[in-house]
Amino acid sequence: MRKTLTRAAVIPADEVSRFRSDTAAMVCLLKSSFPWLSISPKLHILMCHAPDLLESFGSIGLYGEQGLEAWHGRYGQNAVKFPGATELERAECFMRTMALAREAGSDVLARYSPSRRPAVASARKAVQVGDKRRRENKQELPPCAAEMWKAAKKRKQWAVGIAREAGKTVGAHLGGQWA
Amino acid sequence: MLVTGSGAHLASLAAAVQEKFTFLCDAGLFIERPLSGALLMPTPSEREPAIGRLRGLPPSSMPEVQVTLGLDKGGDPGTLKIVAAIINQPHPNSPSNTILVGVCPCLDDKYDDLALMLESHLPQLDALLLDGVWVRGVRRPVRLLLGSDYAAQCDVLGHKGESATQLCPVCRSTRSPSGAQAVLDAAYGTLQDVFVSRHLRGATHCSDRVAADGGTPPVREPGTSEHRFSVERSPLLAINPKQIVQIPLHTTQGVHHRYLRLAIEMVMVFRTASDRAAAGRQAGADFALELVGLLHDKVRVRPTPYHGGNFIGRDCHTVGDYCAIVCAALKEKVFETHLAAYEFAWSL
Repeated sequence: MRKTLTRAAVIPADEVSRFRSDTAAMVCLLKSSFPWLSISPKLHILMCHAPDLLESFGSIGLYGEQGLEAWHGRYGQNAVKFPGATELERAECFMRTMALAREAGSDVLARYSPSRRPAVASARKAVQVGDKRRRENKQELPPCAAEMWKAAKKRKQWAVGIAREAGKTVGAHLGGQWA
Repeated sequence: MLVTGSGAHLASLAAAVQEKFTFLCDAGLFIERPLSGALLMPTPSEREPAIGRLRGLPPSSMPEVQVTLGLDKGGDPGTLKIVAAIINQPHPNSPSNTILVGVCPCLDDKYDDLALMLESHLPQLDALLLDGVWVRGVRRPVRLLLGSDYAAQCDVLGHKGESATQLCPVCRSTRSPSGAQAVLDAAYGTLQDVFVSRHLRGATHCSDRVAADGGTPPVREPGTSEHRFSVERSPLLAINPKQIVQIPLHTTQGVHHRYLRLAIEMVMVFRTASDRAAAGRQAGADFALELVGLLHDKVRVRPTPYHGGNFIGRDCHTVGDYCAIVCAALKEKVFETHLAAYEFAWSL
């Protein structure tokens, strides 16, 4: 079901009908097995509206928000290339560059992009199991203590947050017993 | 390019979209995306005079092109990006294949902020929907879909969002049964009723802009409760509710997060049944720590500091692939019936 929802491709008809039955089965199962579970807007969308959209348009993943979200990453990665006194100036610089890049279609880019020659036939490749160039045979880099500490802190934050949310839900369900 | 107080914008969205279609046709990358099902049937709006009809909803008999418009705030410092995606191509979600329409530095992305940011694009969008685009020498109408996340969709549609009585932008269901909204609950059902058919919002809920352009509002006066159904302000974009995209990315993340939370809730319920409430709370907190440690050590995923601290992207799917580890950790900590249902839910 997850793959049907997010796959950026036209979904076959039998998979569409399976998706409809699976989403309905999932939400009904959750609702009947876990009485404290409230149907959130996202579960509601998944059960009631996603199958209709999938049936009408043949895909949901094709229309998804991945492309939109990816622009945040691209903007962040390129922030250093577009300095400016204010965020608006940086945004302007970025927009201009992206607009110009769009002008350079694939025909133009193919003309100017560096071409890569194929490797020589006799070039050495890492085919031996014990070859040190293979990823699995490379020595792992020692973990950075600061990174580990930061990751542990984030995990703890996540655990505290989710346990608090869960506590509220269960508390509301159990009422007096929970107090 | 246009720089205003709200941000940096493309001067002409319509021209950018047309140019993209021309490029796709020239490169032989244009793909037809035929519709099927309910959208193929003639809708009431097709029988109405053109002035009262929503734009971006072409008649089913005509070949069309599909464009998605999305807005999302992200990054640090926060900037809202407005992006148009052309669906009639092989990889519409690749950033290189989308059109960055505007970048707007902002602290907030509420209705009023969005109105300012979209100010220069709305006339362009209207022109695009009115005139269509040229595809291989033939003018085709544009079917406009609304992307974005749930919050942005609600703001664009003038909907109250999660706090609304009828919180779904697509149908009229209410949140949960309540005495104050008993009439609405009875008429349209609630989100908690999983076995009822839904009353979809009509296109008229989002047609205030059509009325403002001189058309007659088809149902009631804009502003009355019958007309709006939790749409409290005039929609910035007049979009048919059937063409609101069901946010697959955020839905997947949200549902996976709910599953992980459900595991902790099951532990709390189990422990509370055999012990006191305090023990249940403590058991839940301990299991949450154990769970996130397990996900880190065995599944090799980590929560992100943004997106509500969820597991996102590839990590989100990896959690789904390794759900057996989560289920195994729950053994003897939850009721057997709960565990069986939980395992089955993951498997779907």
